[in-house]
Amino acid sequence: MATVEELKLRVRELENELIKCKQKQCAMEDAHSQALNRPKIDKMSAEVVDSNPYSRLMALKRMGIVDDYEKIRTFTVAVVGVGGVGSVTAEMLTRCGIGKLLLFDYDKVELANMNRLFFQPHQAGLSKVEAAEHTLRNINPDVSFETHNYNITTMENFTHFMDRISQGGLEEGKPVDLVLSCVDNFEARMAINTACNELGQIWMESGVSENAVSGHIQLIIPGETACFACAPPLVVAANIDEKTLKREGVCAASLPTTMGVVAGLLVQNVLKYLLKFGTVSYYLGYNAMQDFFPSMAMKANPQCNDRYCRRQQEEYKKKEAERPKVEVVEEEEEVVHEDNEWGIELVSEVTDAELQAASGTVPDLPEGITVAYTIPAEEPTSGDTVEETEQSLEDLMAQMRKL
Amino acid sequence: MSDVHHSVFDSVHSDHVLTNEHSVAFTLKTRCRKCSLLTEQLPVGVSPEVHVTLGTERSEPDRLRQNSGLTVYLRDSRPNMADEATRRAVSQIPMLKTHAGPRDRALWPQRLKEEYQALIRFVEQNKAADNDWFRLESNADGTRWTGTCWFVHELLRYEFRLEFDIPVTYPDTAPEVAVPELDGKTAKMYRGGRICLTDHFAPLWARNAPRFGLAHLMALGLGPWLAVEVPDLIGKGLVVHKERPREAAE
Ligand SMILES: [Zn+2]
Repeated sequence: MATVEELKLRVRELENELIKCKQKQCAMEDAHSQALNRPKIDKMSAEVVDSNPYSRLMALKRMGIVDDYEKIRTFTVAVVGVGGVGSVTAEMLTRCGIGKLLLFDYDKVELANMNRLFFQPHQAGLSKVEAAEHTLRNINPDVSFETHNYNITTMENFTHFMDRISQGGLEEGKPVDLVLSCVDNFEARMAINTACNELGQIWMESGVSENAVSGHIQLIIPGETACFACAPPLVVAANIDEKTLKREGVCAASLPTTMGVVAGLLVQNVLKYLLKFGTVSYYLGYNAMQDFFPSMAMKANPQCNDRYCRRQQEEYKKKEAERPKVEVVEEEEEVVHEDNEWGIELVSEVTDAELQAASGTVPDLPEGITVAYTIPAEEPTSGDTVEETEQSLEDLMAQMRKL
Repeated sequence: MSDVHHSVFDSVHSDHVLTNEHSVAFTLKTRCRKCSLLTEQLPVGVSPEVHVTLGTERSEPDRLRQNSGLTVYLRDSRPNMADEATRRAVSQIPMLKTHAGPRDRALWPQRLKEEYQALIRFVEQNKAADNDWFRLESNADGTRWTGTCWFVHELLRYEFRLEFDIPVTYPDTAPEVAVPELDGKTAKMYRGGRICLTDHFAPLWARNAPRFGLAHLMALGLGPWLAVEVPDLIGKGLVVHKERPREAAE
C-alpha cells in the first residue's frame, strides 16, 4: 500500500503532466485556427463564391429585402447577459457581420450550462465574455469586440456600464446603436431600464420564462413605448394547468429550443430595426405550448415610477407636437363577452380591506399576454414606520454591531 | 362548471389567508379570454365574494361551503405555523419612509439610517421572542452587506455566512441574498449561492416598495428559505454540523 505522502506526490505529478498536455493542445489549436482564420475583409462583397462569408447575406439586397446590407458594419450592439439567449444572439450578430459587439456578463461557463447552445465543455471555468469573444472572433474576425466581466447592478459597475453604453460605439465617444437585454433576472433588467431611460438609449428586452415554455422580446424606445418600469412585468400565458405545475425543489428550467427561438426572434427584430426592413415588433410573445405568438404595442405610462421615463415622455411629446400631423383612423374591434368564454381565476385571498388594496389595475393587454402581478394604486397603510432619530448613522451601525 | 371551480380552489389551497381562526375570505374575479381583462363579473349564480368556513378535522381535506351553494374541497386550508409566525414578525417591522437608492447621494444616508433602525428593531424583537437568527452589517456607504444567519435543527445550531450588494435599482428591486457556502448543494439556488425566492416574494416586494427594507427581506426572503432548505440539506447529509464529524452523519 502506498502512503498518503506517496499518493499526494503522484497526484502532483499527474497534475503537472495534465497542464503540459493542455498547453501543448492549446498551442496546436491556436496554430490550427491561425491557419484556418481568414484575414479581415475590408468591404462586403456580393460575389457568390465559396470563400465569401457574406455572399448569402448580400443576396438579401439583390432580392430586394434589404436596401443596404453593408450598413450592418456601421452598427454597434451591446449584449447584456451572455447566457442561453445572449450567447446565441451574439453569435447571430457576429455571423451577420455586425460592426461592434459589447458583451457584459459576470458569470463563468459551467457544465450545468451545457443543455444550452454556444458554449462548449472545454470552456468550463472561463468567464462567459472571454470564452464568447474567443469563439466569435474565430467565426468572424471583422467584428470588433469589447467585453466586460462584471455585474452591472452594483454601484461602481453601473456607472461604468452607463459610460460604455454612451461612449462605446464603433467610433469611440459615440453611443451604441442598440442595447439588448439577455439577462435572467429582474434586478438586471431594471438596471438596464434605468440606464437606458437616463441616456435615452433605445433597447430591446428579451426573456424566457422560468418554466422554459414561453418567452418574449420587446422594443423599448424611452419616452415613446412602455419602459420596463411602466407596468408590472409582462408574462406570456403558457396556459399550463396550475394543478400540474410543480415548483418544489427547483428554481428554473431551461430548454435550448425556447432560448434559440427567443434569440432568433430578438436578432430578427434587431436586423429589421437596424437595416430598416419589414415591420419591427414592439412586443412579441412566444407560447411554446400552443405555438402562439401574441404581439402588441404599449405606450409609456405617464405615472411611471422612473422619473427619467417621465422626462423622456415629455421630450417625446414635444417632438411629436412639432411634427406635422397625419390622420390615422383606428378601427376598434368591439369585444363581445360571451358567457361561456369566462375562465375563473382567483386573484386575491386575504381580508376584505386587503383585498381592495391588493389588486391593482391590469393594463389592457391582448390575448395571451398578462402581468405577473398587479400593483394597487393606494399605498398599504398597515404597520408603523420608522421614527425620527437623533442617532447618527455611525451610532446606529455601532448599535447593530453590539446586538 | 364544477371543473372550473375545482381548479380555482385547487390552485390556491396553499397560500390563502385566514380572516380569523375558522374562516377564510377571498374574492373571485374572472379574466375575459378575449381581452384578458379582469372583472368582477362572474358566471350567473357565483358571487364574487366567497366566504368559507373551515372544517374541524385538520388531517382531513376540509370540506367547505361557499355562499353560492357549491361545495368545494381544499386539501389543507390552513397556513402552517411558519407562515403565521412570519406574518406576525413582518407586521412588527417598521416600514421605511425614504425612497432612495445608493445612487441618490443626498437621500441615501437617510435611507440607510432607516434600514439600520428597522434592522435593529427586528433583531431586538427576535431576541425578545427567543428567535434570534441573523446579524447583518454593511460597509461605510451601505452598498455591501455581510453577516451570518443561523438555524437550529434538532437542538443543533447551523450557521451560515450571508452576503449581498445593494443593486442600483434598490429599493424598487430587492437585493439578491447569497449564502455562498450552500452554492451547488440545493436546486433552490441560482449561481453564486443566490437564494431562489418564492413566487410570492416579487409581487409582495413590488407592492410594498419603497416601504419594505432589508429587515423585510430577511423576514420574508431568507427566513422562510432557511426554514425549508436547511432541514432538507441536513436530512440529505449535505449540511453537517461543525462539531459533528462527517462520518457520524452518514
Ligand atoms: Zn416607464
